[in-house]
Amino acid sequence: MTMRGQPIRVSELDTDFKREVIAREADCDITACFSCATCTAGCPIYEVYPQHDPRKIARMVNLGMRERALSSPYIWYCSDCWICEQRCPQNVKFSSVWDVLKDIAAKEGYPPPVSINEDMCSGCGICVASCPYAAIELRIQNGKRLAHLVTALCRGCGVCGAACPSAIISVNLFEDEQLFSQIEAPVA
Amino acid sequence: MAKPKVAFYWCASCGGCEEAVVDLNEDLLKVADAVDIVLWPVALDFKKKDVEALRDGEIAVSFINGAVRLEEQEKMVKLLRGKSGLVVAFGSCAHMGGIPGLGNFWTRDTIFQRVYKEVPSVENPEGIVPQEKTGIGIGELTLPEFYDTVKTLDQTIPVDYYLPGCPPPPDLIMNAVNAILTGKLPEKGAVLAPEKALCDTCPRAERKPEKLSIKEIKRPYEVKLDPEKCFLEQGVICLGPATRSGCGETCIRANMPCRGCFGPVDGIVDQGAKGLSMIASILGLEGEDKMTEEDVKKLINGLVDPAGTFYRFSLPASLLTRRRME
Repeated sequence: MTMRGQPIRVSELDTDFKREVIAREADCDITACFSCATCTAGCPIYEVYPQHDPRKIARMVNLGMRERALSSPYIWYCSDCWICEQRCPQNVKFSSVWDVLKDIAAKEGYPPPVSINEDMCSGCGICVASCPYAAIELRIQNGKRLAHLVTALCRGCGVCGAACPSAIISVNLFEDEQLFSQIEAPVA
Repeated sequence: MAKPKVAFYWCASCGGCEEAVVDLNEDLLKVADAVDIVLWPVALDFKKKDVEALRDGEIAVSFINGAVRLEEQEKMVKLLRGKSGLVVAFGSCAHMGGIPGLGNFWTRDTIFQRVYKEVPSVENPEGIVPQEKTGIGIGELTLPEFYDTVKTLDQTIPVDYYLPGCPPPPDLIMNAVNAILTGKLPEKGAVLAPEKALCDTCPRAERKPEKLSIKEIKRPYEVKLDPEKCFLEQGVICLGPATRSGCGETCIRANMPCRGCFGPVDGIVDQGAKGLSMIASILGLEGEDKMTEEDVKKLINGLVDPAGTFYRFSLPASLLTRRRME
């Protein structure tokens, strides 16, 4: 999201977007957000990926930057820890907001950044069993079973990436190497 | 032209890797024709001084099996590294620590205590344990130091290639020998075996259910295993999904699940952790929402010795490396 310095054109905004988000999540009023950034300050994902900034995404929703918010890969980076939600002085339920954004994004053809390297798949089926959204299916190709991602169903939760014993499912750009470096840093 | 010189050496291993070389059968004669074997303790009478007399890099390739457990093994592999153009870690123990690597759940003292004092078949009233130096009147006998921690070969010396398996199967050995003799080698650091996990070649793959779920963990002796069905479907822990293929599925064809001797596929840092998360991902999936805390506990407790199960061949090479002793 390299938008610093670029003008925001009112004519391009969808001012109904915030109402669309609120309508899907009844007990939270995202317009109460005044960008204090308490959410961002506590976000462990922001620590690693500053582009995943809850405050900015909330701002985009309120301003009506519909396409920008929905097409951003960073809405899928949330780890569902809910720290933002607990700390928000305005009671914005960020976890629900992310869910709504993901829902709309998936429906409108902005899939989560998840991919399976099918060339290396052994067809063990562990991912198929573990996916809570039934978004992975085994397809027979040249007589071999291969895991295939149905992007329309995928919610980017990451369970398959953790389960895949061949490490060929890349999820939300959180590669194993990056996670290992995060583990190693504090214990070094 | 002089034949390329080849060395075979064994460290902490069972001897199965030596058997694997003999299992080349007639092909062994071809190998013996094509190369000049300069060290092979199990079969030929060469001494350490014969190796020392060689120039640095004079040995084309050293095939070293076994983990590094003793001071003598460390010295020998360092000597061989200097004298060899290529070093191949041969078999699971050299590759990842193997079965001897399970010793990293203990220390020298606790191992000696068990082996020389507590084992019911041992009678040792004086409590004698091996010493590095023992005076015997006319002189002093020495033994190499027994290390607290078992290491893989590449934790001791730089390794060029890995031949996985407990032991490596004859076809992979011949492929490796041919690749070395013809110079058609992959990038350094490669494991000389197929890239995909074992399920890719598993004879039971076709009959695997669409969705795996383990209701109750069973050990092989507790169940009459159906020779056609996926082991995981039968509740028996099989590490095939988390293990590299190329073994010829010998265990599976003998109706025993994969135990992981080939190690993980490329890109996996810790085979045991992957095995654990893979099993955790399919444990009690059916009817998960109806399970009580007690049910979950019972299901998980069905997994006897998880550390030994998932790290059976790879403890020294894993992120754990060893058990922390207080």
